[in-house]
Parts: sequence; C-alpha cells; structure tokens
Amino acid sequence: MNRDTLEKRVKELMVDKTKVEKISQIDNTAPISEYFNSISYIQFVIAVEDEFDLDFEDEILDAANFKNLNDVINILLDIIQKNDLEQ
Amino acid sequence: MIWNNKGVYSVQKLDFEVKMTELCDCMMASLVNAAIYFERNYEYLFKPIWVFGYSNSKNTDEPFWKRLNTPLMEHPHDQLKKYHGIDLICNKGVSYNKFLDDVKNQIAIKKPVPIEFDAFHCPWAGVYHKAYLLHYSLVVGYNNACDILYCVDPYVTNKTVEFPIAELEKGFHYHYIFELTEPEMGTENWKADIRNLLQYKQIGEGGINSYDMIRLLARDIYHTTSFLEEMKKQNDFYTYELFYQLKYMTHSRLNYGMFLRYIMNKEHVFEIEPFIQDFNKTSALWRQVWLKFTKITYLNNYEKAPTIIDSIYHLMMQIADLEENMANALLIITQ
Repeated sequence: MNRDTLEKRVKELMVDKTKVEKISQIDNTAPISEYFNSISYIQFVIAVEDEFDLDFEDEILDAANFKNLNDVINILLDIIQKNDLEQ
Repeated sequence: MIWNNKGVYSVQKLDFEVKMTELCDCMMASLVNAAIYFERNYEYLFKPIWVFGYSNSKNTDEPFWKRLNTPLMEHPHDQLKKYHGIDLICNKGVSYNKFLDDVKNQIAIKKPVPIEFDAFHCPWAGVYHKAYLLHYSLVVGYNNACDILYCVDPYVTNKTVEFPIAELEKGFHYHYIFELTEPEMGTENWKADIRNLLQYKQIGEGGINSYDMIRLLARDIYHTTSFLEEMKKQNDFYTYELFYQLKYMTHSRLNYGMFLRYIMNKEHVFEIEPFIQDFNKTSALWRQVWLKFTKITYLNNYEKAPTIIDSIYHLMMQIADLEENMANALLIITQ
C-alpha cells in the first residue's frame, strides 16, 4: 500500500473516533488536542493497531509526545510501512 | 430564564488567559489560573496533594476503582487564603438571580466568579447529559442578550467556553466571591509543611501506609481474576472516576514538584532540587499507568490484555518504591 493510501485509511480511522465528519476537514498542522481528548486519542491508536495488526510502543499512546497531527500520522505511517516490509 | 428584564443588554468578558492545564483536579485548575490572573502565587495549593488512597476493605463487592481515593488532610481553599492571600467567600443557599447579579458585579470589578455545579449540565464536558459529577470552573464574562455566561475550565479545555444560563441553573450548586487579602504565612515553616504530609502518608489508612496501598492495588490488579471483567464493563460514563483518579495521581506529582521548586527558590534550599526531578519522574510513570488503563478499557482484542496488566503491575511497584524512597530522603532533609 502506498503512503497516500495509507494516510487516507489512517485518517478514516481518525474520523471514526472524533467529531470530524470528513477527511478534508482535518488540518495536519493543528495540535492533536484540536481533535482528540486523551481517551479518543487512545481509541484511535487502538483502531490503527487493530487495522494493521500492530502493537505500538508506549510512547505512541501519549498524545503529549507529538507537536501536531502531522507528527503522529508520519510516525504511524513509518511504523506501518516498516512492518509491511518486514512481513 | 430572562436575565435582563430592563432591556439593557451588554457583553462583558475579562481578559482571562488560561495558562496552565496540567493540574490535578477541576478546582485546582480553576484556582491556579485565577491566582495567575490576580498575579499572585498559588504553589501552597499543592502542599497537601501528594497522596494516594486505596481502601483495604474485603467486605465489599465494589470494583477496585471505587476503592481508590485522594485523602487530602487540608482543604485547598484554606491554603490559598493562608499562604497567598486569596480568600474564597462561599455563597451557599443564595438564589440563582442573586448569583447572576454577583456575576455582573464581580465582572465589573474585574474578578472571575468560581462556581460549583453538576457536570451533567456542562455542555463542553465529556459527561454532558451522561453522568452526574461535581464540577468547578470560573465565570469570566457574560452576554445577557443571549443569556450566556463565558467560562474557563482549565481542567477540560484551554479555551473560553459558553454556558447557557438556563442550562447552568439546572445543575447549579453555589458560587464563590474572591477577596484579595495579605497572606498570613510565608514559606518559613517549609520543613514542617513537608514533614506533616510525610507523616500523614506514613499513617495511611487501615494500618497501611500510602506506598503499600499502591503495592496493594498493583497486586489486586495482577491477581484478581475479575479485573479484566471489570475493565470490559467500562465506557466513558462508567470509567470516569477511574480516569479522574489516575489523572489526579499523574498531575498531583507534577504539581507537588512545583511546590518544592517554590520552596527551593524562596528559601534557597537547593538540596531539594533532585526531588523535583523525582516528582517529574513519578508523574511520568503514573501517566504511563493512566494511559495503559485507558488502553485496556477500549481494547477490542483482549489477547493483548495480560501483557498490559503485567506492565501496569511493574510500573506501580516501581512507583511505590520510588515514592517511598523519596519520602524517606525528604524526611531526613526536613528533620
């Protein structure tokens, strides 16, 4: 799966867990707190884990470790693609 | 509710900026930000908050998280008055109209108004129209053409939010008026201030000190077969108390470190500095526990649960050891 397709799928999972209605409404440069509280963020991380059969490190669970949505999405995509390559 | 029956409408809003959100509860979050607004210190609010309570009762069917508590030995309002000269005059039993008049009068003299109310009626809270919980925030303005109060609630958001006065009335308990006075005390008795809390933690509850209570909870989670069943029942409404307690543990350690830094700077006791780092460390460990509990709550694949439970157990044991060592070392410094 290429990076654009992956990003689209990750954002669809995000839409499921937030009040955002469409992917087009997501601003990658916005702080994570614009979209998530601590619970909905973890629900989103779990959804990504389940979708891509992954088990993220603890640091990913903490939204405070990321400056904005772009940071989270890039790290998630890196991990997903690395996992794909290993398989 | 028609607030203004004279046809004179106005919008008044204080220039109130939320500066801090990582605070242990909604009252602390409001009071710290109010103190910053008044350009006062607030650190003695944190004097009693390095606590942990877990009831040892075996005679109850209560889930483990209902046995968690935060046993404060002093009320934060008293600390704010005594050490920082910010008094809160409670207005229990007055009418809602009197409260609205007070809002107008206090905003006119540039003072926010603390309110206690039920979060069931709090439109910006996650439990809005889901759960009944005591909540605390600050009114910082009003628009009486729209019958709206402007509030800040730094425990939940760093934004100014709107509260329809008809909705607040349904869950309103009472309000306070701020009075600014001279502080009665300074930091001169800092050793006793710290030592008293350490002794209180050592006495603990039911013959178990604060650190062993953390170990007891860790063992209960690890060995109780019902733990996972209990976590499976959770949802936003049911777990609110559990997440509240875990957030409290995380932020209270961070905030107690701020209290120590205040003393260090005022009294020039630089041997306290390593403890400030330790409180940041224990706060980070509690944060991991909190996030892992949240993850278990919302897991779809329960095969992952045993690994997470094992990790929570070891983190809590590490926290208990760290906090007990910190307490023993602080006791020596404060002799």
